[in-house]
Amino acid sequence: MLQQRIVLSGIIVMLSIISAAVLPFFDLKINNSFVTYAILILSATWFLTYVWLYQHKLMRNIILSLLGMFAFAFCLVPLYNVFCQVTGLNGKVDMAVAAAAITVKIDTTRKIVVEFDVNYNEDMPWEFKPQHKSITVYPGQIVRTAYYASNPTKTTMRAQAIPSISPAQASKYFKKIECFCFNSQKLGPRETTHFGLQFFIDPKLPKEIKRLTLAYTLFDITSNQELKNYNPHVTTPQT
Amino acid sequence: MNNDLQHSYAHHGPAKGITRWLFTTNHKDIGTMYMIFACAMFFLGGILAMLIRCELFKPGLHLMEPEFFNQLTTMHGLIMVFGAVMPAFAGMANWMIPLMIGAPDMALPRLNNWSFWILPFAFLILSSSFFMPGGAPNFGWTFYAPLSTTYGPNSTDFFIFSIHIMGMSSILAAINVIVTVFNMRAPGMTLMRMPLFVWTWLITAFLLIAVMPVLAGAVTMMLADRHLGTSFFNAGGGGDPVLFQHIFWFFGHPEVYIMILPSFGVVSEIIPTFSRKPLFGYISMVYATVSIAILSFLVWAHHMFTTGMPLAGELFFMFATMLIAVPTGVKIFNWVATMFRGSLSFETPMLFACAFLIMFTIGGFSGLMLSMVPADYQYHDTYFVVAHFHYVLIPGAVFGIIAGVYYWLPKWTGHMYSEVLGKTHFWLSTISMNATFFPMHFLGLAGMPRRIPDYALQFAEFNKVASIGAFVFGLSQVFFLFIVIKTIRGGKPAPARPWEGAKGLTWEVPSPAPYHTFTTPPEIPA
Amino acid sequence: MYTVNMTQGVTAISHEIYTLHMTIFWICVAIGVVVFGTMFWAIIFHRKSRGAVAAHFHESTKVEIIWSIIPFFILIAMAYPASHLLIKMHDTRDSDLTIKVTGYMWRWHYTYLDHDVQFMSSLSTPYEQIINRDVKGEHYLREVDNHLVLPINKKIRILTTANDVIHSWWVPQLGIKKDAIPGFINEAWMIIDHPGIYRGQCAELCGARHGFMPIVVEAMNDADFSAWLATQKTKATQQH
Repeated sequence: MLQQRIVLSGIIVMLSIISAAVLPFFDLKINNSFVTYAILILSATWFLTYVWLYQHKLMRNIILSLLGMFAFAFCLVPLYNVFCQVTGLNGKVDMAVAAAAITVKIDTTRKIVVEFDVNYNEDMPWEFKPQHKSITVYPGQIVRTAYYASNPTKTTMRAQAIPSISPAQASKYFKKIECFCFNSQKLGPRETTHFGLQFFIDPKLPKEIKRLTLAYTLFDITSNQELKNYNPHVTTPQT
Repeated sequence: MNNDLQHSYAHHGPAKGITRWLFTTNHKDIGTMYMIFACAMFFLGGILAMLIRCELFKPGLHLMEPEFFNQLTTMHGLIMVFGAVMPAFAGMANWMIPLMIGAPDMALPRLNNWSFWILPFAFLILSSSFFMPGGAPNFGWTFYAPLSTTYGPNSTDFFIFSIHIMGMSSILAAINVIVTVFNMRAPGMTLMRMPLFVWTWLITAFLLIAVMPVLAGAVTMMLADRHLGTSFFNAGGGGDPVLFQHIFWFFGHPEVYIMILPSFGVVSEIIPTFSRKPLFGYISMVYATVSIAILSFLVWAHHMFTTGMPLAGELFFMFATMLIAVPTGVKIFNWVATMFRGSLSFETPMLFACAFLIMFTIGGFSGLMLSMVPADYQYHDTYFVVAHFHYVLIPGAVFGIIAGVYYWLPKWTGHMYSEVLGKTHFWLSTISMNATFFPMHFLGLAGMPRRIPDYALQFAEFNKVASIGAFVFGLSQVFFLFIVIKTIRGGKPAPARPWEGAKGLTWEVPSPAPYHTFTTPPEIPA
Repeated sequence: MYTVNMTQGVTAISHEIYTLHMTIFWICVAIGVVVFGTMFWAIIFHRKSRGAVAAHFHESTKVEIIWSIIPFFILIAMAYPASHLLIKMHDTRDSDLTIKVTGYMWRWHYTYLDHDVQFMSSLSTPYEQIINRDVKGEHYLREVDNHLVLPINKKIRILTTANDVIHSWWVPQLGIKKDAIPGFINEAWMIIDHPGIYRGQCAELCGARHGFMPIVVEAMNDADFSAWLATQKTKATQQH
């Protein structure tokens, strides 16, 4: 029996080494070597605990469950990314939006007014202005607009634009094909630039909604290391 | 347990000195400690309230900086909710559940000891935050993000730690209650023959196990946002401040039912006793309590109607919240029906129970008004809400605790409290409580927001009345402490059954209850 | 002052809110009269000291069903007008003017989105009044340097957001309370029926000076509003 279980644990360790080796092929944009070491250490600990506490079943099972829970929580970071990519939640699958943009039919029977608004979080010093304060569009029509951004300070800064749409029901019909809000944006001292935004409104937008406001809040994430690498969107294929 | 063991205990008795209390596994000792702790916290939270009412006595800033005022309101809420009400009911559960079901003790006595002893540590940490640089937590007992995550003082992390410890205490105590009730009832004591106090605590225990981990999750996510670079509640990192509110109130709403259900149980013991009539609709009362508990999980966002929820969400939560009025109303009707055509006498416990019935119902009415979303836009975050929850918490939870104390003091101490003093305490408390909190309905309707240290002139008159009422209420509770201590030290000897109409196993044992009771299971008549 | 009731306000919606509030209130009073009346009857006439002997009844399924069903129907009756009003309050279409309200610690910022006018609005009560060195003025703690000026009889859309923590924009007489959440925008609407000055306060704890960031709305007829707006725009261009 002991032999059987040692072999089983050994297999678990092997599997984890293999998965660690295979990880780089899934572009999860996480620190792969870190995850590899973590998986190795966790499975080694599991294996050792199993052998060491073979005699004390209850203690062993409790400690193994504890390790298992910890490992699960730990693995949630990459697992989350995988889950969202597979289900398309959080807008992670741009491919679908880009594809839909090409096939969607333009509804010329009604017009929607889209207003663009800007907010700054806390002391965000950048200047940020929409190219158009508002645009009138047909649902289904692919629209391109831009925002002018300027960093008036003497240091390089990184910003994250967070969109919010009102009325809230409209937000799931507002499809961004390309948006500067997908990634954090870096601007050097006194640098200015234009950020592009490409979107269309799904014709399934309820008929009552004739105007929506897209507001971006600009956050200063220069000092936030974790957010620097926060790139939730798969890069759009060049069309 | 056999007679030999019982014999040996009779010789030894409880240990002497401080080690008796540190190492006790006896449910009576632990119940006593919980209640002494809760009493101390009640006074600490009460002093904070007195300071708040001092500042609010007149318009203008008089005693303190606005920032300190925010610390007072935050700590008053935290200490009363987590330090006074919950431990008091836990203490009563410890004392009374084994007595009521004919068990010798709780199922997990050592766990019971730890459930209690981590509490003084947790609250020492929390209270000492007043003396830390940056002061105590100042973001309200509901600690919304990002005020608490980005702008919280250094003591916030100690607050989080303290909540974790206190949460563990509650969860372990709840486990103890469930295991005890399911496994240690005397033969013949079926679930449907248990006193309602045991039922309400059983249901409360399930609520605790379900939601205290959610609170732990919320504060851990807060800790992560503060120190581990996460952005759960920070829009800049893809998070949402409203997520915090959802998680917190998913805990928070069942929490308020955790605070009131044991009180329902106490009142369900007292009213039949002093009506000399059995509780009306026992089965219905059990089902109503279960319905309230289940529904309590479905209404959390009624604390969030102004956050910008979609219409469907607001409608759902409005309907679900209104629905809770049905089982709650059923319970009120059942209590009144118990009194109706009974043979009533009005000793102090009954006075408090009747005040509970009337004033908790008033709190329920203001709750029903709050559930109407369009009207809630005018009530939310105003003194109307403060009035509502103080009506359900003070006459609801606190009077339930006080009523239970008067009711069971003879059993605990072996002495009768002075009825004259008790009644005086009752009238002082009831009148001053109403003087304090009834005007707050008007203040809220007139437009006074919550959590402000200074207010516009049109709110002055009712604030003055409320402050005076609060001072009298505070003094009345000091009077209560005097009554309790006096009774502990001496008084007319209490018989096993001091109340003529009292029924149940509790009243079979002598007063004061011996250190070990029901060491052999009692005979339950068929 | 001894104001005991909610304001009826100056919008059709605020009036409907008031009516809903009073309706529910009176229903609660009626239920209270029945329940407390029964209780007091028992307290007076069923006392042992009066010689009352306890009856023995202790359950009745019929009664339990009745007093579950009747309140349930009362609730449905309440829910109907409340839902109707709520649906109306969520309809932000076809507005004439949009104002963006941004909550800061501890003042409000207003932007007239269609007109490029924006300004900060801060408490203007002198500090001496707050620390009791001077007599408090009539609008103590509810006065600001720059009013939010709005036209009457026009549908006004309010977008709320915040710069730092959650605030809440509340003017009782306009029947609006909406949280201002950093990173997000919320929407509310109003049509003001009468010119006048309407005061409100921040309604979400936002730090030390949460009680010191009031709101003052000044509503005027369309002509006066257009004139005011024109002067604001001139001021804005002069500053540039």
